[in-house]
Amino acid sequence: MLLLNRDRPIRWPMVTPAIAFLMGMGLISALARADEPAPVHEQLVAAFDKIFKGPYAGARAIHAKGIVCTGTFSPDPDAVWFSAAPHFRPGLVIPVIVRFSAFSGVPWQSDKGPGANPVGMAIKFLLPDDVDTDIVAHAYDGFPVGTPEDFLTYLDVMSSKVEREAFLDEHPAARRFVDDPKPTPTSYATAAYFGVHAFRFSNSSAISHFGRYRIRPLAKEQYLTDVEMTKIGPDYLHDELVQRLKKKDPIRFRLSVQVAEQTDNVTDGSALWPNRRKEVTLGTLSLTGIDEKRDSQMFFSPMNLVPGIAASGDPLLLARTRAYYTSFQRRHGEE
Amino acid sequence: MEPFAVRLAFAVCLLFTALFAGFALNAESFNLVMQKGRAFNPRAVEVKAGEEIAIENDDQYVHHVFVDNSQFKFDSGEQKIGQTVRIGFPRPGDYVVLCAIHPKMKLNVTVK
Repeated sequence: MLLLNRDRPIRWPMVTPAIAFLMGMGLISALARADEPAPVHEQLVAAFDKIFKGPYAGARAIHAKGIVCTGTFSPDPDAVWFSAAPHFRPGLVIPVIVRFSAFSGVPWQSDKGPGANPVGMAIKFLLPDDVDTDIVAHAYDGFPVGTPEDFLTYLDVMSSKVEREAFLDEHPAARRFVDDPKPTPTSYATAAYFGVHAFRFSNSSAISHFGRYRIRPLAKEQYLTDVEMTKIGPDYLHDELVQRLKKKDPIRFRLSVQVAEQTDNVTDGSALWPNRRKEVTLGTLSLTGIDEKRDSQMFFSPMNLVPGIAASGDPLLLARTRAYYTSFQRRHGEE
Repeated sequence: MEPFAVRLAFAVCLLFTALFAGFALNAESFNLVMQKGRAFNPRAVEVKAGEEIAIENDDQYVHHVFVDNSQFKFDSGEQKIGQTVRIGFPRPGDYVVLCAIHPKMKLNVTVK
């Protein structure tokens, strides 16, 4: 107001330094903001883009090539004693959508090339009242690291042999992940899949257990040999699944949970629990159809939970949730 | 009435006035939005710059609200059932509050 008062002339020698000071402060503030690192979920998506030379229009940042199946889930009669989640109520048959995918962020990823494994499996249970809940798993028991920060470093050092080796020496789970064979399955229907994160399952009496999902094929678990790998085409797993379902032969998986004991780490997906831990069967998935048109619209989130299942406090679980959403927004042009 | 008693009564009155004024100011300084049935209710709010909105998870599901705008970023992390998240919007503009778990959930916030 003072500057606009016509009775008092503007004293430019006094005003100019003030304006310069304010502009300087604004510039410093802008530079400070520019120096702030992007949120970890954005950095994760950017790291995958860098590795897979993306982003690719309309594609997920990771697990970009996939095939969507439809079917049902029938809960085991005893599942309700483990969790009060609505899809575990006995006698129900719940419609499901299942997406199988190659690992990489390249939409035309060859099934015989590096980057195809471990393949993924995501399940969406379609519950009454337009509610759904998801499971996200991959064909490897474990995860290379336990925190978003370590995951970023892990992705970053993969391109440098010296840095990679130094990182792997200090992170045994990452070493195991890199060194373990991750064979291509004979079919998406013959691989075993594992949830990375633990969840807290509670029944109607509020008795809780932490556990990790395991999804095993009722058909024999089978993987391609090196010789067989040389004979398959780039879209082998997709084509095989289509042919398999055309024969009206449902694909079946048993869904179970590996139950943690007191000493097991439930907030770190890279910390494996002993194989002798009890497994509780939750039910059977039966896949009968393919729905190719649905793929790009589908959004699976490991945090899409319903009462009876709760998150464990695993920090990577939250980071992955935001990263998946960032990828979802990007492929729908919502950035 | 004794002068001390008058002064005491006056002081008590002042204290209550200050307290109630504080509550009244607080009540005006944020807007309440509920999360129920995987939706925000209301779906749009208008606030003044610097005011807060309080988002209460009255749902059966965990949520994860965030704002990702060039002017302003916010991330609640896991928002448990019953938990209230407060977001203060410092600058005027149009913002969208989203849930990282449920893509259909959208809250439009106009900051004047």
